[in-house]
Amino acid sequence: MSDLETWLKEHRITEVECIVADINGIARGKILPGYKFLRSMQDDGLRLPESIFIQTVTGDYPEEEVIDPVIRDIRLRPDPATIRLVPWYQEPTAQVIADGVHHDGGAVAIAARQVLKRVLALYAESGWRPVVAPELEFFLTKINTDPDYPLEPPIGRSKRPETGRQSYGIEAANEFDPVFEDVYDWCEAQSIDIDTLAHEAGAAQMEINFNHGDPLALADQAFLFKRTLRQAALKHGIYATFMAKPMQNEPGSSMHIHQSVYSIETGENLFAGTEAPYSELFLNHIAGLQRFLPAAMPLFAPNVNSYAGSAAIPTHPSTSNGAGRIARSACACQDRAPRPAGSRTGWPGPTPIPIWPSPPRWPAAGSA
Amino acid sequence: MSEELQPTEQIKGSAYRLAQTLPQQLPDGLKKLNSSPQLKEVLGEAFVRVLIAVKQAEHEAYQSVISSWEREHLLLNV
Repeated sequence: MSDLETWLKEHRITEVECIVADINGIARGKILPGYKFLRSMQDDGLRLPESIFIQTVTGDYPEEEVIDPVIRDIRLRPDPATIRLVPWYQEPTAQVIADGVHHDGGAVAIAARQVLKRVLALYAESGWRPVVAPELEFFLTKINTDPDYPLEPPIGRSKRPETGRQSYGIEAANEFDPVFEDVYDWCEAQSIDIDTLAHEAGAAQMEINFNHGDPLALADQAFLFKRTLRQAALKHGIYATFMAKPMQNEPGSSMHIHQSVYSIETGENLFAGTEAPYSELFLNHIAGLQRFLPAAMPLFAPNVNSYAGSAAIPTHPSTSNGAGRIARSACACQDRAPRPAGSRTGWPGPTPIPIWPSPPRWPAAGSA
Repeated sequence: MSEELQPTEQIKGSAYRLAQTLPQQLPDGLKKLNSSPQLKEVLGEAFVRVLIAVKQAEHEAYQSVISSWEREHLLLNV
């Protein structure tokens, strides 16, 4: 019996969601009964059209032929390491993230998860093991049934909408305690390793930190977290949005990625200097970000909304090693103990493409 | 890191005063991505082609929308 089969039996799973992230991070795939899922593992019967990877956020396709015009199905290969419960359903349901392969066995190169694997293989070739920790900002809002009307802050336990700036406000965050109780419970049930929750500068704008770890595992977790938070908010009659700039007079939401690189061989942090706070490799890393961030913008700021009201953001490295706050830059360097040396890259654009989960917009006035 | 590039000096204080270096609009970013052989090599040509095509299609769809700003400020004034 395969590990997956044992796991499904142990958890009495009746239904399995076999999912992939499309280019916008939208979950797509198939939902099938547990026994059919297991059978598909035997006969390789799980298929999806390759075109889901070129679908736009409006559900259309580019006119230009960017993939083989012959309609091709790809086979889904579930990654057993990603199987989890879907905690918000009544029926015991599992979700598993799949990779796509072509009929000749070759990986589907246009799938975001495959792109990340490709990048990680390049790190491994150099003997490097990258470690990342994403940080996601988002807004809670009232249900908005007519998109012609602007979004409004939701009503929390006080029965009043939030006004004024509540950066790091504890009571303000507790306004939505019932939502976050569910979020923490559901994340635990899915082994989504979230850490700290803090209130950001905007009305009902929060930030969640993930613990550091393997980039592929964290990309999967960030993808599943977005789904989880949206579901938890809906359960409590509000929306959660990761859109970069959902409201004109509120700050935007961003995603930052804390990054460091370790030696596969020795396990040492290659970004930490022996005498200077930073190593030569770290300076190369920052220089690489400075040089390539402009061209990499579509990865970090993939939507028109990522640029709404966008302000000028320099890529000059800033530092947060002293008492001061991080200067507003796309690259912030940290050497403060006990945090290992690393960089914090943030961009003005928001909803990440699931490869390097993207950083959206910087919050106003450098709140971090 | 592979190219052993050197960064500019760290900035002290606020970075607001420094000139913008990042693209300010989606099409600018797409143009820059399309002219980066290094990023195509790292991410894969096929993926970059798809990303640019999808994001261009999304941008065109967005451009065709008439916004509330236009209705508010132009409708009765121009």
